[in-house]
Amino acid sequence: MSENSIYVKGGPIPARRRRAQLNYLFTVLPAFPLVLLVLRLWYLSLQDLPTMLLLVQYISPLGMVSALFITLIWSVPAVVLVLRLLGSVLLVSAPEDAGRSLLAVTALRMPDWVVLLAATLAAFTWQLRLLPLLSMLIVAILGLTAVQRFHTERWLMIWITIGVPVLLGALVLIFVQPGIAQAWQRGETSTALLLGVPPLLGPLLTGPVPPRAARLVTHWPAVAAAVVAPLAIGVVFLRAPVLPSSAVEVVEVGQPAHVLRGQLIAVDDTSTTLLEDGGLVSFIPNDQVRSKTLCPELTRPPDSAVSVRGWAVTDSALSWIAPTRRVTEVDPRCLGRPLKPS
Amino acid sequence: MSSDRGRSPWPDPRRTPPGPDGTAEDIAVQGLAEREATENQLPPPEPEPMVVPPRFNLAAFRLAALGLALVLAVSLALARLFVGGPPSVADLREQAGVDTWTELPIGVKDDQPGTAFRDPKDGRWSGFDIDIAYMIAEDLGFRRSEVKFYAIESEDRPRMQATDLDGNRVPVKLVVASFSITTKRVQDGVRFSAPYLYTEQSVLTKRGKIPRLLTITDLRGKRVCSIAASTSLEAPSTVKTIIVVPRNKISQCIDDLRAGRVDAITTDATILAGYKDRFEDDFDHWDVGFDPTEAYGVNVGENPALQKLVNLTLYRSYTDPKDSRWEEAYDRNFQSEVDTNKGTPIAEAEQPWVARPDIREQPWEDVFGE
Repeated sequence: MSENSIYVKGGPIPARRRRAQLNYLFTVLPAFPLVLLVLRLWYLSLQDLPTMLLLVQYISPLGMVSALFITLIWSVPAVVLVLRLLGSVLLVSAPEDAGRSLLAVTALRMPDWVVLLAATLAAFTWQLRLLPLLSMLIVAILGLTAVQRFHTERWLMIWITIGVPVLLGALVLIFVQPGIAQAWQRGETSTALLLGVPPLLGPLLTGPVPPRAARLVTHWPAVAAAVVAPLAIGVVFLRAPVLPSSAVEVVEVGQPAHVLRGQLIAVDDTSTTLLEDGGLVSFIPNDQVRSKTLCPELTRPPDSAVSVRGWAVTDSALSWIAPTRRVTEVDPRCLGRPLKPS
Repeated sequence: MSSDRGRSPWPDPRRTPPGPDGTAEDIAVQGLAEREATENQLPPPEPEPMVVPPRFNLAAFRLAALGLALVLAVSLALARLFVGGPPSVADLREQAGVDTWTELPIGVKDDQPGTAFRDPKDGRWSGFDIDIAYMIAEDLGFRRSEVKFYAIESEDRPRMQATDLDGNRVPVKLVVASFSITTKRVQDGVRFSAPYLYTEQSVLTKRGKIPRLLTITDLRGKRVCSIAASTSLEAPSTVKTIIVVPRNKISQCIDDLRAGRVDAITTDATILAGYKDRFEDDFDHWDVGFDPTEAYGVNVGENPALQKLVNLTLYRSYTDPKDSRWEEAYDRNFQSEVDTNKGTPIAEAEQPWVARPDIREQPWEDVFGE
């Protein structure tokens, strides 16, 4: 025991410097959403500084934060669960090496209730096509936690690391099987793979990998994901709408009514401010405004037309629980035509 | 070992394994503590004794139970969703055989303007029954071009045998032909859908021939035409002196009335209102206070699954405020006839209540349009 007690590991980077770098990371991290919000406004103003300043003046931060929240809520569980999975694999494969990897330390110190909460959140906010992946993550984390913590009865370990993943994988496959067949027929290979492969992988992820390869297959993928994730999140958020898309019917004296389409920035006592689709800001005197209407957001068609037993794969559980308003008729003003042609 | 080695920045990677006793977590925690001690230039911590963990570990059982709960929850949810309970729409479509039909033959009347009429000039079908048939066909997944209408005579409606334009017999899948739901017909084995229209019986006479017609008894001694094998025959038969002249089709009755071979026609108000509307100056349309309500239903033949699907369409049309196909059909075909049929009711302007069909609805589906 005494031999072990004086043994200490270090890294190529002196500890103090490493810790200082980590502290800077934690300082900058909260700035990331802020950068996203400013970037979003810059994007919306089509890189025109005066327009951006006008937007800053009028846009409510709360509205922006709501948009950020609704658009990116799904990414929180993704980060938590992937961190925990990769960290746990590293931890059980090379326990002596754990201290060298921030990934393993994070996984080691992550409270169980955070994982539970993340899994619940993901179950509601992830699209159906990602739910097999979620079930794979959950069973893998369950098995890895057992391997990491316990030396107990063999049958118990077999149940947790093999029994649960196999059974759950089989159940998930039974549920999604019509979807896989449908995706295959339609030629949506990626959807078919996304639905069918994770349940098969679950039982393979509940144990250690060879210690030599552990760092390569866990630490570096995590680093790669950490580099790509801000970009992906940024792109997703830049596409999210932050201003209501509207159409304003304008009547000028002696001229027929015409319709301006765009995003409504503000209405004050003299004019209505509208950011038109081309990026032009119009100040319309209020006495020229005949009517306004809210237009349906231009949604991109869903990536996949496949549905599993009537549940579209691009829908999340939250979206079928919450009531929706189906847009059936398009207001002529949203197509740029006056309500009553003069 | 010397303490110098403990502060060395390059540790010996080939550390002796901690033995079989410590769990991965114990080892990692120990490693971390050692690192922190080095970073703070402290003497390495006393290792926590890596004792043999007890074989019986309650925490492990809890984790196993969590796994079991997960498996049970998912399997119970699947069982709840797919085993037992009423059939789903997909099940019903399969049972009804709808998915194997390339077109949908429907038996309708062809000589009742406003209700179901085939224009002999251009072969176009129109009327309330036609619109209802299209509504049902649409929900069953048929395009308009895949719906084939065939003329059907009243006595053929229970047998679902229509005739095409060449006079050949054609079996049809649905009969939407002003077919009233009666206990006797149901006992005889006709399988009706829920009612889709309420109407009543009325009387049509030649313009000015009979000055006042308040009840059926005013037709004493007259020759009254009606359709054979229809419910309209019963009322005139109760008055003894009325001479009932049954005809196969309402158009034959109309011909007889025009030629003076009969004095009046009695049948459903929807049918007579259509003639009164098209030939306003030729006829008088009378409400003679017949009590029984005629409830039109769709005959689906020996196909209980199809019956449920038809009822589902009617139920959706009844409950879904966004589904206005019934209302539009009514406005187009009957509301437009109100002016020419002054005071004589045509049909109830509201869709009859439909019981919620017993069909399974998954939480993510909106089968009933509620």
